[in-house]
Amino acid sequence: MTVWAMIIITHTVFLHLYYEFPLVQSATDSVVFNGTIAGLGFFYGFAFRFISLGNHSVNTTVSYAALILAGMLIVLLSFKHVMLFIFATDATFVLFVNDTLILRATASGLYFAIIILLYYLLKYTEDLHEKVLNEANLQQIIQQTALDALKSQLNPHFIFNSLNSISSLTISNPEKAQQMVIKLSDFLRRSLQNGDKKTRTLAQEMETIQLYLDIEKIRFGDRLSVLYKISDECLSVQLPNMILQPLFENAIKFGLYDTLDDVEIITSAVVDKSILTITITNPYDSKTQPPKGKGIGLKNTEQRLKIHYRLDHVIVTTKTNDTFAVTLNIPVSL
Amino acid sequence: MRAIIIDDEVLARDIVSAYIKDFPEIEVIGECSNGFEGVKMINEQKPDLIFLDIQMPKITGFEMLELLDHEPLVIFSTAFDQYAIKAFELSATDYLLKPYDKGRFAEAIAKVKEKFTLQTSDHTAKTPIIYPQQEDVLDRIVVKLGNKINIISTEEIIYIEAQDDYVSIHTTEAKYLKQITMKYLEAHLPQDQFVRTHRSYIAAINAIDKIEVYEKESYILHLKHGAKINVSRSGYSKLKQVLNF
Repeated sequence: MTVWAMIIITHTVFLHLYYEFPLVQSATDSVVFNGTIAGLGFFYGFAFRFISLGNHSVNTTVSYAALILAGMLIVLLSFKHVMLFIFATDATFVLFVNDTLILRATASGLYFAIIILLYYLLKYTEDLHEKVLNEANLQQIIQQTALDALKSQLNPHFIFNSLNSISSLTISNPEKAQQMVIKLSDFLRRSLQNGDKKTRTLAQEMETIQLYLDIEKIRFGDRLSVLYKISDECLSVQLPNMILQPLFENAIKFGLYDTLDDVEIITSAVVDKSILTITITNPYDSKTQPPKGKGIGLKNTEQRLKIHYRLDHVIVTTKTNDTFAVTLNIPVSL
Repeated sequence: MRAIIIDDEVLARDIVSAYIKDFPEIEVIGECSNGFEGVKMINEQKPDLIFLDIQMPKITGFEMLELLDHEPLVIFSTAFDQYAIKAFELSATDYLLKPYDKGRFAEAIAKVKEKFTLQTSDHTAKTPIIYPQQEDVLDRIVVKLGNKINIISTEEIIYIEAQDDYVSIHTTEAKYLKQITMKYLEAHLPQDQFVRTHRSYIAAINAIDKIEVYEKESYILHLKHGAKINVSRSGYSKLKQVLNF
């Protein structure tokens, strides 16, 4: 605003002193000309709020040029008509207005170019700031998830019970004890290694899951069975690291730790129209578990996916009386 | 001595069975894989000793103990020591952290034997169940009705009434007796859901319908489903506070 006021005053003073037009005439000229530019400028600024910068294609350059040209045209036409209407009787001034139209066209074009550039820069820094914030947020969540993953895999309950099972097996079945030691080590090693690479394939992800489920199978014997329905084309799809682990931990926690019957955990995965759909189903008992919405594991996974893919509703959960299913819909990046 | 092993993992039960072979004076008469089986077998078989896991499906080892008619000596065994303090407050004889070795197991058995001889020589020395003095807020209560074990969510409770050594817990569906103190319940039920209106009554705030003057400085609280309970003077001021009137 102050910038515009100063421009208007300078313009007025210049006309008044240099061309020696009366003050009223100079001021009117200045206000109408600069005012129109300012008004349009504000309108452009408003429009900028709602467009995204996107890619720097030829299209955007063309549309910026169109904005400048349209601005020039509107300013010139409105200025000319208004001036001629107000000061129609003053021949010198009419002549002056007509003579300076070209100059004014150039000036207004320059103004608009500067206005658009300023808005562009403003928008650009805002976007950059947001991007940086998002990135920082993402980093934090990834670190938190890595930490949570570590904590849950180094979950004392899981580790010490597994070690107790091994201790028991050394008496009854040393060979199986050895198998379990190796599986547990393998699983822990994979858990500790993650975090370097941002994504890995579903096949790699499932190998880790399988180790985890194998260990639980040794602990709980026949009670746990695991069914995989994963079609081959899914295996090479890239996923954020350790994204499935919390979901399987939930399935085990509610399906196995808190039920008395045999438990089957079903994992299915298909790719359709560039969307990978993974569903993990486990039985659960609605009676002993007060429904408390989404747990921490599910929330973290959801947030990670949301930021990674910039999509909502990547996770869908479905509950029936005795089964709980969590479904991920992940875009397949080629 | 007769013993029962209660653990949801077969390998965890196996190791107890294996270690206990060194103690021929202790006979394992049964194994259970959850608290429900545990309650049934303990009440029927009346063992002298139980080995008890804490985290098990449906009801925890602690909750199982609350349901027993017969009180055996208890050795807790669990993987995680967040429960250790609670276990000792429940007057457990000993507490084994998984995995444990034979030596540690033998120590636990020695403690059990000592306590067992004390108990058999002096029948009055039986230790009653002491409820844990800790910060936990209860979100469910486990009760036994006949042979059936019910898990009541605190949200189902309408009011609780003191009855000698027991309390009766009234829900929308039924009424359950449980051996527990009003003091314990008052301290551990969620403060934002319950209010103690009287020496003998705790009411669920959600179930309150209206308050009626009965006599001078004595009131009757009408609850949903038609129940009416007494309100003492101090109960009335507590009600005033939680209901903002």
